[in-house]
Amino acid sequence: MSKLEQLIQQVRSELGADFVSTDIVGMDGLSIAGGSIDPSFNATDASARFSMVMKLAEKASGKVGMGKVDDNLVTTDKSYIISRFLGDGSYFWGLAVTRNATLGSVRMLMNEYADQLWDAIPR
Amino acid sequence: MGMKGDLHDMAIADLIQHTCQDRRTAQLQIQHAGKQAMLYFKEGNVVHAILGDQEGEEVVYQILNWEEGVFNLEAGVEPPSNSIKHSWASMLMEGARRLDESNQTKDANQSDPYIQMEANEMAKLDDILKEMSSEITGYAACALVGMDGINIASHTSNKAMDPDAMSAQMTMLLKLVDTSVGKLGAGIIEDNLTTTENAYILARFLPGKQYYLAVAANRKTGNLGNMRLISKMYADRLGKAMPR
Repeated sequence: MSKLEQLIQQVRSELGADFVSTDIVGMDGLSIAGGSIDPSFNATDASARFSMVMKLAEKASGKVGMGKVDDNLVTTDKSYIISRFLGDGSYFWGLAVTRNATLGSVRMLMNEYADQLWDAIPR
Repeated sequence: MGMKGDLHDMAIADLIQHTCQDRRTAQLQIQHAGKQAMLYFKEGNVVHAILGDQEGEEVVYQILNWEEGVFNLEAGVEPPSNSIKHSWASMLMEGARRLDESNQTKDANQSDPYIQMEANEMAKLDDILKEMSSEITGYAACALVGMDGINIASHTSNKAMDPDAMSAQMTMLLKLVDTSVGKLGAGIIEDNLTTTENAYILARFLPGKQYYLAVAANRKTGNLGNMRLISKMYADRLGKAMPR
């Protein structure tokens, strides 16, 4: 198991029953690591779509002078979906958790693991 | 580089909207019934208008009536003066309201939801946004936006921030997020929050998803929990205050 996969397992363990899915995605829209509790979840589709979201968020923020994007959080009736840029912005970390999750704790968890995940990405 | 055409093919309101949304600096010359009007755009805002010896917003309201004529849009022409202070979106809404009152384009405008809002209902929405602004920690700007990207009402504490530009960009992002979430079966979207190095930008749908509330707060002084709670409360209230 690679270091990246180990870290993803640790994130899943810490989130417990609140975990839904996670992926480390290049800005080309391709996932390099991840997993989901739902075997029918289409990670390929999700990675591609949310890379477009992150690109558009960057473009929108730039056009209105808000600076570089750190992350994007989507709240639905079923889940929180957080996409967070890693390192130099060439990858982002997508994480979906249930609505039962404590959002503040999830964001803290992502703060804790973001740099480790970036360091673990093969380059 | 420019564009020429006939007002039968493109209405003046559409010319103004597209030029502003593209954030252009340009000169728009319009000829109608022997008269010539000049509009000047600076980085996505209408800043000056001339018709004969008239200047300013009243020129814009007058020429929105013109259905026949020709236009010439020339990019890169700097405005010679600055006679207009209101946003292009609010001028188009005011112009459309005046057209409706004069019955000159009543049939064409009946399907436009903005025309049907009376001035006192608009003022009520402005008041609600202003009230909300005082309750959000680190508040910067807010807007009530249609899914066409145009502000119904807006408020900002930071003159450097352009609510119209923010709304146009956020609408595109929100549409993409909504589509993505739908296609993935991830539920029904409630809101989208983008965190940048300078700001929190939250977009929350009103019931019915024809409009959304956009709120921006300073990243350093804002409080995310406060922002989400207050915007949720006011989105519900704005939803009830929207004209039916």
